[in-house]
Amino acid sequence: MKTILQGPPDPAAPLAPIWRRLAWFFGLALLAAMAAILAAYAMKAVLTL
Amino acid sequence: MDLDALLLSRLQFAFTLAFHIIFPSFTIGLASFLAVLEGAWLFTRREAFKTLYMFWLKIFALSFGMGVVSGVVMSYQFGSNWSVFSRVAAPVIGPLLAFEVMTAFFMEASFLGVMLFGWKKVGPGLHFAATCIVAVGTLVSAFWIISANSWMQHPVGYAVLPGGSLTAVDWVKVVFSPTFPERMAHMVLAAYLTTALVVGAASAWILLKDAGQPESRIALRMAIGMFAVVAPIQVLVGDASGKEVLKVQPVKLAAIESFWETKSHQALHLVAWPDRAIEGNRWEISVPDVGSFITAGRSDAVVMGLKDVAPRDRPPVFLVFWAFRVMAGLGVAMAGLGLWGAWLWWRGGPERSKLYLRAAVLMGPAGFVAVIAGWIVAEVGRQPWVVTGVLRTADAVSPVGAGQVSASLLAFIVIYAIVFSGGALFILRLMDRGPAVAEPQPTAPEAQRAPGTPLAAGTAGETP
Repeated sequence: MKTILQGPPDPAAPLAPIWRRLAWFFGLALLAAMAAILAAYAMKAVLTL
Repeated sequence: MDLDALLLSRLQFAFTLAFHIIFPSFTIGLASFLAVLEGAWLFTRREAFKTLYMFWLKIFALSFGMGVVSGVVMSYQFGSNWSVFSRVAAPVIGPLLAFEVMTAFFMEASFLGVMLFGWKKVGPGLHFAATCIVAVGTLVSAFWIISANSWMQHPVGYAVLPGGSLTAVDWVKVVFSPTFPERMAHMVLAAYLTTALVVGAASAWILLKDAGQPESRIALRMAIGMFAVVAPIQVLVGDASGKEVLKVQPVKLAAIESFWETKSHQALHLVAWPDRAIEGNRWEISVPDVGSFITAGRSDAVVMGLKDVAPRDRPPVFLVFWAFRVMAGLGVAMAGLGLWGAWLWWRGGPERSKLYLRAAVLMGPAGFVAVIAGWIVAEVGRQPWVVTGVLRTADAVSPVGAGQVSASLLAFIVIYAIVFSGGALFILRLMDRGPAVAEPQPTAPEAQRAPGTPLAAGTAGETP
């Protein structure tokens, strides 16, 4: 987990353009939601075997 | 005791609920704590807040995962063990639980992804927004679950259809049933206290080993602030919740206080041995008149006793009475820990007192115990009803055999013992290491030195 979790960016480094950061923001959120949906359906499938 | 399908289903639900409630009661508070830590880091740029954030983020992610897994089991039991309840009450309860998933769970699950994996990609501002959204999501989740449960405690805004099913006729009344506001406040404050106790215990544990550890000193002070301010407020909110219970669930209140006769000048039973068989207390240590005063606000107020209802309509008094005393006793202990810590803080620093640090470690699990005890009061105190006055628990169970439920209960006990013990041990190990080693260490300046410089040999030599 130590290598997976991201810390904050280097304060001296310039930030990416806002559109790119927003794209990551909503893209990661969508991916996480999809993962949750997949996990839920997988559990449902296992329980109904 | 005859272990029939009804009793086994109740035991199974109680077992899985007791496990499940540990996680949301921790993550609700922890999500808000993380938002405070990140906000403090953004505002002050003190590294200690960032280190604490990274440390507690790992524990939050693990607890959130275990909360989701144990929560899914709860909802499946509505179908497997409580199918009659589901058939009768689903038109009212179902939408509330669906709202919880759609408006809260997905909000939390989605933006947890940004919290864990996106700080560098989205930047500090948007990452802070994600942390705040997750914190709000946990509160929204609590809103719907407490709403559904409060409706079961005191159902309003519904009608009974010819087939026996219920239907909502006034959703505002259903969502905001009379006991909901106090119960919602009580649960959220309980979650904040639970988290503060764990944060305080983890920090105190590290400070017992190293009294100068800076992150743990900050975290302990933040926890003490929560005990000192929130615990006394919680006592007042609990009192308001109790007064609402007196209005809408007087039988439950009679069980909480072990009142058997309806009368004025009820005594406050500090400790007692309530026994349904003799319809009274086998022994008690009581303060005259105070029972009426505490429950109804006046010592001459007439307060209902359990003998006013038929024996079959009374909840198990012993369990409710003692669960309430465990919860209330721990609440007072939390307030005491807060005031003691605030005094030590004022005197120079709580980390100087080994006795206080040991007490804080000892009180670490107290929030979980109090939350479980509180839910025992709420749920066992509602018996024999699953939806008060509408559907008895005995009528709500699925037509399943005792053997089937025994097998699933045994499976739950074994699987939970393995999965959750593993998770809890991993969290405890993280806490034992403390926040100082939680963060990925930046590359040492020495390692960045060019070959040939005096300090380059040591690091270069370690590379195979």
